[in-house]
Amino acid sequence: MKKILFLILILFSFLGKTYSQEKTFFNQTDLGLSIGQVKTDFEGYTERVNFSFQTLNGVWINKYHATGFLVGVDTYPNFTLMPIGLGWRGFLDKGKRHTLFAGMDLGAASTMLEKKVETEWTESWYEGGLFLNPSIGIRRNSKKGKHSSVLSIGYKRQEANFYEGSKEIGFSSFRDASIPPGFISVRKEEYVFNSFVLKWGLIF
Amino acid sequence: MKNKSNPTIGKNLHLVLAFMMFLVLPSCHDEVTNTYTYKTSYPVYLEMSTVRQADIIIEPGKELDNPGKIYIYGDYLFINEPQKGIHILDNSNPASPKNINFINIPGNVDLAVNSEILYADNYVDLLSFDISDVRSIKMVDREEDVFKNMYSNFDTGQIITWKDTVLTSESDMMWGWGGWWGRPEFLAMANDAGSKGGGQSYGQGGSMARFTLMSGHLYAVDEYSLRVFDVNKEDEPVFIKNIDLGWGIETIFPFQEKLFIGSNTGMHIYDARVPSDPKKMAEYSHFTACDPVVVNEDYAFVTLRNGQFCRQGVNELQVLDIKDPYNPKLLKAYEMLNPHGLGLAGDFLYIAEGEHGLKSFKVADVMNIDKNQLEFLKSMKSVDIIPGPKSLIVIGPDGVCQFDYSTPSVLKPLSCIQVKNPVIV
Repeated sequence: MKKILFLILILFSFLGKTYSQEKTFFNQTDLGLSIGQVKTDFEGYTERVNFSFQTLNGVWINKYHATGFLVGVDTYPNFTLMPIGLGWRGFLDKGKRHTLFAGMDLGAASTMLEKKVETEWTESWYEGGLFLNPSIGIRRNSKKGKHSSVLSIGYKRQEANFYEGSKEIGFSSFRDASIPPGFISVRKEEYVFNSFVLKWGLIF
Repeated sequence: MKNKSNPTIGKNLHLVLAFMMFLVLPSCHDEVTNTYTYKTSYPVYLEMSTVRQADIIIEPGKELDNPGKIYIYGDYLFINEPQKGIHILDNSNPASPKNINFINIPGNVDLAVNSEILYADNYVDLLSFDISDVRSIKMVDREEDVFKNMYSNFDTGQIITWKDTVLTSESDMMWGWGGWWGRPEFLAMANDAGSKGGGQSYGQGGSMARFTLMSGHLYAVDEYSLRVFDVNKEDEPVFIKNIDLGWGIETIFPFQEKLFIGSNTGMHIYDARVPSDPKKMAEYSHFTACDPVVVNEDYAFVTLRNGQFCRQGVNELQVLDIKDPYNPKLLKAYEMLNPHGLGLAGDFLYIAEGEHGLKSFKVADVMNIDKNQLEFLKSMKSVDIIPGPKSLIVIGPDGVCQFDYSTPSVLKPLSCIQVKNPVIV
């Protein structure tokens, strides 16, 4: 919470500087696909195609740079994450209709869309992790100039964990630091999803 | 200004592009580290001859690590540390028990005291200690090979014990691949492995002897049988006989020349008027469940719970009419949370509800026990209860606590002996 407040302060400090400019607020909202390969059996890899949505809200620092907060929804095999973080966009603005741009998003994903599943004998839950998402794309201004559409490709590295524990029934005399108390076995899957991300979106 | 920044951004873009190539190209698939960590136990073979050679050492009092069975004798409290030995505490003031010493007995599970002689099992042997002076304890007898079921090979004198451990296995696969959407059906596989580990980790597969003394005889039950020892000559217990009981024997409770034996499948009643030759009177059967039992003249109180070893069980308190011990009748069953041990003191029944706490009831009217719940101490996690002469002793995962129960409806905490590493449940 403190961190968020701190970030909001930074945002407002940007606002002060840029208030005089014509365009102040920056919004980029994207929809797209993230494509990766996951090993699901001993033989080899299975392709996965997942859905990705993200909206970045912030401010223009000047004509070339914009920055802000982002929040999104990413699906992965078996679960859905909610990335929250900071984003930057740099535009190679030469005053033409098509502009090349680059972006960098950083942050951590929340698992608030996943519930902890508890039965009499088991408990399973997810844990979100850090993500990194560099991208490049093309911005195409609309004729009226109020908004522009964007097409981008990028790479997304997303960390996440899945835990599944079998509960210990009754009291066990035997304790060990590698197993959380109350469980007789725990399976942990640590994921690093490496995705190729293809997105379409709008910038206001 | 404009002319200056453009080339800079151009350079930046190229850098970003190069960086992306660097990141994307070598790692075009997901990395999965699948770690399965589970508690299990592995067999350790011991030569009984080596065990017998080693001295039984009396050590200075030490901290409780994992309390097992508890026994009160006079002003002393005996707390067993499963497979390790017995703590002896001076409990003349229940508000502040004092640790005196620790008898290091490998393979010890249960104990009983008879006229200043302490009986304790040492794997397959039964040991007797003179405890007339607890500060100078002497071993006076070793009765060999009385718990024979622990032998893996009787001829070579090899016994089998289990040591707890944590194992980890790894793979790089994403389990339960559920396609692109939805949570998978993971559970079956992990569970099987889990319960397999669980089946061994408590040492219950070994010999969990349970001792009780009555009419000059020591009765010990293990998983399958009742063993009778003549202890009329206290320091020289004599093994008399072995009575097969069937399977899943758990507890033994003596009352008025009868033995009430709780098992996974029911309650056995034995007539012990001839102490050396107990005779079966009845067997009351119920669902598979874990079940300790206590009795008074007319009724038996049996708790059934489901647990690691009795997963199909129910959680209830059953009241049986045992006025005719040859024909016990179920009077009523009351729903409980996860009842473990229980203690009966006059008209008051105390039930250890496992991690849920400790309950007390007035049981004068056995048909309305649920309406006569007195207290429910939710923070007092408990597994067993002994109504002692000076205090109610409650054993839980966090330690051994004592309560003043002179006013049965209000338990007054006296003291708690904390264990070294309490389980956080």
